[in-house]
Amino acid sequence: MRDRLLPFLLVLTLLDLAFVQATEVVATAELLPLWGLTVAAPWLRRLQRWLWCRIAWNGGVLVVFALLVRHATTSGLLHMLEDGLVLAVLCQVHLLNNIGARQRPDLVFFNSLLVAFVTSFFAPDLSWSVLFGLHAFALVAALQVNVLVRRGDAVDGAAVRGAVHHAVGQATAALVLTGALFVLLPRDFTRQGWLGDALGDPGTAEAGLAERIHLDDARPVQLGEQVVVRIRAADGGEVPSHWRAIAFATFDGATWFPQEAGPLGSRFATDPPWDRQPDGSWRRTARGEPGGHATAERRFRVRLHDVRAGRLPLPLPATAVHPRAAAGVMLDTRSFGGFVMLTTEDAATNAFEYDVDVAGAPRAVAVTGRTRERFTALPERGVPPTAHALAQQLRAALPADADVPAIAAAASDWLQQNRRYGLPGEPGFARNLGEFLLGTGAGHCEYFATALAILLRLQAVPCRVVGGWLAHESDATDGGVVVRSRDAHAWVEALAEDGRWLVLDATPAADVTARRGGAASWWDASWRGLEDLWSEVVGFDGRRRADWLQTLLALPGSLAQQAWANAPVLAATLALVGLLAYRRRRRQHEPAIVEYERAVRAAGLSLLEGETPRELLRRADAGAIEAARLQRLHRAVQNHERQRYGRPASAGDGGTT
Amino acid sequence: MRVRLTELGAKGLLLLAALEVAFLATSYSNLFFLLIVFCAVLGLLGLASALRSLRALSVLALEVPPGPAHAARPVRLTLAVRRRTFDLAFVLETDGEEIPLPAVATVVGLTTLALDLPPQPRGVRTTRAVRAATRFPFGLFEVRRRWPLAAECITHPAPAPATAGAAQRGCGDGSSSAGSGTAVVAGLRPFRAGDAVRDVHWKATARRGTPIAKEREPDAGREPAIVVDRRGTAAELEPMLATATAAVLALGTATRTTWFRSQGLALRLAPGTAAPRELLRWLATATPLPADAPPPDRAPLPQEATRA
Amino acid sequence: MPPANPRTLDAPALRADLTRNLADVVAVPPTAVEPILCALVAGGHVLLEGIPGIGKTLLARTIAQSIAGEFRRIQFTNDVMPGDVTGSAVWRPDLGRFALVRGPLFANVVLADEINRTSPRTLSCLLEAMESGQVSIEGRTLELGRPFLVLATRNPVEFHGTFPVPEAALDRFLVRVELAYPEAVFELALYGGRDCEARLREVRPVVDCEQLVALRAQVDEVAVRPAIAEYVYRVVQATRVHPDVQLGASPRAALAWLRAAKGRATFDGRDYVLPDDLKALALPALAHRVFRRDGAAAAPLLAEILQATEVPL
Repeated sequence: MRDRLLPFLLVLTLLDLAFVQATEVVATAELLPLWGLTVAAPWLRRLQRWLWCRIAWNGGVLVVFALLVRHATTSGLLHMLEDGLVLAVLCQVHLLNNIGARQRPDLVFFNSLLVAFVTSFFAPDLSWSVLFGLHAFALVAALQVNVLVRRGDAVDGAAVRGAVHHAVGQATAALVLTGALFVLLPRDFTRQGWLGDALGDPGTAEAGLAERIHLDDARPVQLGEQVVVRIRAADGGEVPSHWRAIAFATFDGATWFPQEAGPLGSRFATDPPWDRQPDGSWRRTARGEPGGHATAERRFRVRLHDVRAGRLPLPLPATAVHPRAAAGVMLDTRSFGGFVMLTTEDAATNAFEYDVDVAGAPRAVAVTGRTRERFTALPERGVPPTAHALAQQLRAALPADADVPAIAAAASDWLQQNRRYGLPGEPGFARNLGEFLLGTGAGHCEYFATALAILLRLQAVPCRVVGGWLAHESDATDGGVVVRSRDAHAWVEALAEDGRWLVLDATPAADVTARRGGAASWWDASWRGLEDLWSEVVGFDGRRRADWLQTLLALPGSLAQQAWANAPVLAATLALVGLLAYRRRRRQHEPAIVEYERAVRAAGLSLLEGETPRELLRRADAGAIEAARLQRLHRAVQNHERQRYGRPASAGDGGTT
Repeated sequence: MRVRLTELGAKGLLLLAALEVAFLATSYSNLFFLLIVFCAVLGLLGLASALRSLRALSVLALEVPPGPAHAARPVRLTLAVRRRTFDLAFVLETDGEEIPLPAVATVVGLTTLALDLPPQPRGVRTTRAVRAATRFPFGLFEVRRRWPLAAECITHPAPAPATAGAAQRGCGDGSSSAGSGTAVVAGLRPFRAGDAVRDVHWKATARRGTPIAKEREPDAGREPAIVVDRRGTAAELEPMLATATAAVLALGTATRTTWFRSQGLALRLAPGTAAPRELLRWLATATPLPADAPPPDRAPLPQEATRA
Repeated sequence: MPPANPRTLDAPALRADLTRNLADVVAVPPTAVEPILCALVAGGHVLLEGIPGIGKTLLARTIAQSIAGEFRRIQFTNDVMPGDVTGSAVWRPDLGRFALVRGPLFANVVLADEINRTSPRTLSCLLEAMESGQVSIEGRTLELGRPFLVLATRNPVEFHGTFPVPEAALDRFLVRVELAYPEAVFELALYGGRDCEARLREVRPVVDCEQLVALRAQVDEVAVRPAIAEYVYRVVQATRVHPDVQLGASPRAALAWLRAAKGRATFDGRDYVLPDDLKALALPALAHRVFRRDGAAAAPLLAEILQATEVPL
């Protein structure tokens, strides 16, 4: 009879394997045998009848177990968790092959829950959530069937089907309740545990904006799907692709430091300064360009989803910033022409909205010798020898009087065409800048930007590396552009002779967008939407919770506001809900009975055991009951009698049992 | 309704506690919180669901037919179930003991279940209540509910196979016709213990070398009787009761009115009818009497043909 | 809806007429009259119990006269033979052949007096005729009267010279009515009025036999809804599992109960059965079909069950 349970346990084990597979911390080759053993379990477990098969099986399990333990103890903490995962699924497969004979399924349930728990630390992405949803259904169904098969022979296929049908409802209810509690339960989102972050995720780095660029950080990069910014052009047109948030001026051979860091850093006025206007907005004019404020040519509306990003993304030629009401958020200018955001603890909202005016071309600044010197500085060590040769080679290919734009374009084009794009953790990724420049390793945007900056500085072209966001994914909902955390980008700005900053992006654009995906089909779009939702869950915090609660509380109000517009939809929904509730109630209680019971209660009577409605009516007539209520009782009894005891309206059938 | 944590539930609670400790030990993580909430919700949902399913159930009637000792027999339980209910285990509560019935996988509506009562020793029990237990949906909790329902459970002796073995020990079965019939001899058969000496066919016995008795036509005019003499030890009484039970149960196919007699009992059993409940109850509770007790009651009719 | 039959009767009016006729002649309380009328219209038979001399014969004759039917009476003694009841073939020398002489069963209303004083053989013959509505004499099957109502009386068991009536025989009677001494008002009216026979002669028929047979068809049409069936089942099942009961009500008993209830519903002008019909007729229809262990009357126990059994809404 346990055989009826086996398919459910098989599904659970397969889901566990999928969990582990989705984390990508265990090589596929290691998991492949386990997949095979799981799928073959219905046949393999028959072999357990023979002693030698059992000995071979248990011996094999022990050997693999020993190997895993040895591997785990000799490698680092990171590998210990990986080995633990493999061990967990190995146990699962082992149990599956012994269910019924010597094992009860309890351990399978708990183990599979644990696998779900542990993998959530490794890869809390959307695929994990989908797997967990499936897992919830499979687990509930398996638990229910387990209760039934415990009874032995009484179970038939119909009962199991009924239980599975029941399980769908139970699992849905459990998931919905969990979601509701997740949003509603107040808790400390910043709680530090006793163990601190020991079990946290040391393995990957999230793509995003950093205050430093560390080229020697070889951790795998997570391309997060969380929405960072939404941008919409007021005129509905194109949106500039590069939104800068931070500039790096100093390079020490491995790390880029922000422009404003270091002694006197903020004193270098390299970009037109921002002036705060009485209305709270910020404007700037180009230095050396008399004539007051620049005229706004285009306006963009920007919504920054998380104020804690700390930096305001702006296009290089921005001339005005109009913050929209956002209590608790303050802006402060920086010398590279950008802003930092300062938030107070009680900031009312998580998101920050502002409008940006952009002039057609970047404004010029007066270039001083000290500026030039600062932006062409290179460290004594850390510049690969390849770079010198490459710089000379590129310079030689140009005419002697080539200007900055020409030199910059040549270097940028060369890198774009001759160097490969790749992400840390991928096979073939460069171990250092030298390998990348040599062409033996692939690199990501920071490598391309650093390489270009070094090549330009070697040719005495002042330049800096800029961090920001690449806006390339059009947003289906409002026709604007959506920027996700995986769209974090680095590029180079070179200072032309006339004091203008030029935007140079050496990273092959096609590779970036292919890797980072632009919305193509409805499937991608809906997947993207789900990822947005899931990122909301993973990144849930006090502010988001407050936002959700606010939205929920405001829902009746906003519905009331839009009541006229939504009236038909609202009415239809209410009618549908009412109809469903009525039908459900009707299925359980005939309206005639409900009305009868109500009338009895209204008359202040109670139903006696073994009393017929007419007897009750006689009792009521004998007592002193208000006339209207008595009349209602009479009507209810008559109606009930007609409905429940009387001949049915469709004549002809007076039959009973 | 009473709720009990099952073994699986206890293990699950331990796991939840361990996870909770781990959750508190590490820094806050949304997914960890989500999973713990899911586990807790699953437990509470299981409890609520089990309570709901038993609340929808009511046991209307219980009927326990008389049956032989040491053999299973069906018990009829009439249930009204408002919504489909799974995994029901019923227990009959009698004075001092609980008799489990086979489990039911799923049931809905107004139904009568025939569930096998496990073999019982001889005797009469009165059930006080019927108890239902379910572990559905998740097996984490067991919920029980009790309905007081009285029913008499008569377990009469297991009928003996129709051999003469028991007759040796003093139980006469009136339907055995040797010595109890008319003068018309219907045939010959091997001598059985208890046959009268005058019925021995001496010639045939001498011819065959084994005792042979005359088989006589049954007497249409007389009413045979089953007589159980309870004087003696319990060990002697039991096989006698078994034989008597076999005879009583066979009365459904009998063609003649038969008497059943013992100390303090004389019953006239109409042909072709099932054995009366009263008689089965007597068989279930009969106890041996001391040797100096009076012999079985006389039948009211003068003709009776059997020995004690 | 009842069939659009020109002969459709006003059943409530008929009941009123019949009740009035009976009240004019005999002093029987209305609670006892109702089951008898239900049996009459439902095509069942009645077992009357009570001490001699409280007007059982008069009751039967009044009913016969009210329905314009033929009345016969059979006084059972222990030497009454089956042929005395059904009739037999007799040699008619004048005709030179056997002629069939019909027994007293060939009537519309038959009073079978003291049925527990006759031999089981004669009794079973009577019961068979009651069940099938026909008798076989010398190989010929003859229909009995239509309608055919047997009112049997039984002496209390402790009287001398009686046989016990077997359970199966009792089951043939749709209802059993116990007649006690009439209440003082009725009895006083009885003494103060004119002679019974004189009053009986004045009874006018209120319905004819054919109409009564048509009314029976109407009874068949009465609806029984699932809730009612469930109530019947609950009560019957309760009698079966009650610890004091030796033999509970059989499915046939339940059907008889329902049939009597249908008769009451018809008399009430309804084409559906109410729990009230069932409750009113439970004691007459079930009490003689339920046997207690201690041999006591089942009526109090039944009343207890009725009071405890929930009526399905």
